[in-house]
Amino acid sequence: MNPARVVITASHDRSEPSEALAELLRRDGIQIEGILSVSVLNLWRFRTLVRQRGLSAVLRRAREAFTSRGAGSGAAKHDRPDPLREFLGRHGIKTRGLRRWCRLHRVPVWNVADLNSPAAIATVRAVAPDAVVYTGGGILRRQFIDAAGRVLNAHAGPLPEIRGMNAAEWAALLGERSEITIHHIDAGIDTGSVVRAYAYDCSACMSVSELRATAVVRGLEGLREVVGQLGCREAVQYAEDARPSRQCFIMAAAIRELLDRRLAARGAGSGA
Amino acid sequence: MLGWSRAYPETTGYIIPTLLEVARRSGDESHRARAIRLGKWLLSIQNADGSWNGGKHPSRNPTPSVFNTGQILKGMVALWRSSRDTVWLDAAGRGSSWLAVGMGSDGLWKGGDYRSTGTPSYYSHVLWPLLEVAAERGDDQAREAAARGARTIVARTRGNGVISGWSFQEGAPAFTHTIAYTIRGIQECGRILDDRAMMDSVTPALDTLVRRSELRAGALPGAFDEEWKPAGDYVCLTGNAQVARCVLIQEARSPDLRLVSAAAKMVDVVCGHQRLQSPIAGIRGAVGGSAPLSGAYMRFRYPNWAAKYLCDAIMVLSDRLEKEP
Repeated sequence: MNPARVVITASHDRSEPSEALAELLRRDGIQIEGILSVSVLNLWRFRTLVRQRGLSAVLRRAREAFTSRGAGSGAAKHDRPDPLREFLGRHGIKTRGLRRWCRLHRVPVWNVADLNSPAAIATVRAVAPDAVVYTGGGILRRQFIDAAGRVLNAHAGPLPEIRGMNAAEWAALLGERSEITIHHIDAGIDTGSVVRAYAYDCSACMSVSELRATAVVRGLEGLREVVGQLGCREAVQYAEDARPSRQCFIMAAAIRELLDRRLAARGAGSGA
Repeated sequence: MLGWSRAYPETTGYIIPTLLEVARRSGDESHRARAIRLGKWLLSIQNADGSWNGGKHPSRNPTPSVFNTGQILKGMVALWRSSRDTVWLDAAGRGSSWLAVGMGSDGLWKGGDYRSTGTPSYYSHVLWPLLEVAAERGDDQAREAAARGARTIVARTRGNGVISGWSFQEGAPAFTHTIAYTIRGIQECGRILDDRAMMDSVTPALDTLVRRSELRAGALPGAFDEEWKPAGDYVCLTGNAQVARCVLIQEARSPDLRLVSAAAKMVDVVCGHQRLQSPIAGIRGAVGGSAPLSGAYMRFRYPNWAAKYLCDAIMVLSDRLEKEP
């Protein structure tokens, strides 16, 4: 059985989850054909982000990214271990940026303005990987998905119940299962067929940041396992297509605060 | 921005319930006193036939207005409910009788409205106060007539959720302000008439508005055509706050924090444009008609009703959030 050949997408060069996944897959013998990294300095992307999140949120995020990279999930402010840091530490991964990682391991890195750009689509079509593993970079359009053939994503919530953004947060707030869903991306919002779901324990999470990081870690583990089985198709289980449900969007500040309060109270109650 | 305009009876009327609610919550009686003062002024300018005139006061060309009379009824009913002083209910009754006399067999009006030859759909915002007055006075005839009007408007709902005729000018894109008037009017008529189907009829429109708002971080496009195509690149701040209020009404029927989140973001957008500091006292605390201020709705103006609808939305939103453990 030949090892699976994959392309990984990344939202930017400094994406720690993307780099961690690339490293884990490499260690598992997966053939990484290249990384499609979306350029941060891109007016179109900036405009989309501002529309989705609002200008102040985007500027705050940019400030955080530039001033405190490596601060992790924010769990530190609660004096708590950071799940992502722990995960990286457990696997002995030191992140230094995708570009450096690619140079070190002789993997091509393609910087694109947009994953749906003709250049990105042509690249993925030419490589023809067994799968594109999505770890960020914006909403994918049909042309990219068709060119890729198969795009795997770790959705941070249970499907079909929680579609859309901030899925781990919405699942916790709405009392749904704490579950990562590995599924195929299709032209809808989280409506592609489900491959496998992975439950995770968030009972000890004391903040939204910690919850999110816990979900990210479980997503990386899930993707690693599913991609590892790509060579033997029968091991990948396909569920029926997800039924549409009300889409989730980025949480309003007040709702995020509400969840933060609930998590802190629950965590304190459980003695975490 | 060149100072206060002349008095505006229509919005003076519907600001009264907001002031009374602020007084109730804050315990600050000055708000109640102000509401009563506004009410007394409205009584002083009520026409002998029970109507109120359109436009600003004093008017160069005084003409009784269906829409303005309807909005003033809200203030009268609120004052009656808060004080049980019959002077308010009597005035509301006279206004409501004038409205009822002018109604056609379809429960709507011909003429006596703003900028339009037919009855626009946002007149559901007149039928609502008419039903409130009918409920207070036990007037079944008025109730039936208003219910007919509401059903006529609901029947204008298109497959995409748009309710035809909800803009100021027929065929022109509708500001979210009048879209929200229409939706709110139908929601409230449905509530008073205990008509679930009527309340459900606005769900497709609200779903679309929520989605459009979420895709732009809570900033709804200021106007839409009847295919939901945005018209112009601005936010109608009044409409943003009003739509948030409508979403919260919807959510109260079918609780879902995702809707609360959507409403909170719409309110956040309006709060972000509120002028909290200004050397001009009349602008302090004001909300512009549009964001940017040069947008098509109330260009370069700070309408009093934008602040009113922001207050209303904030009060209901904070109530809803306080319900969450």
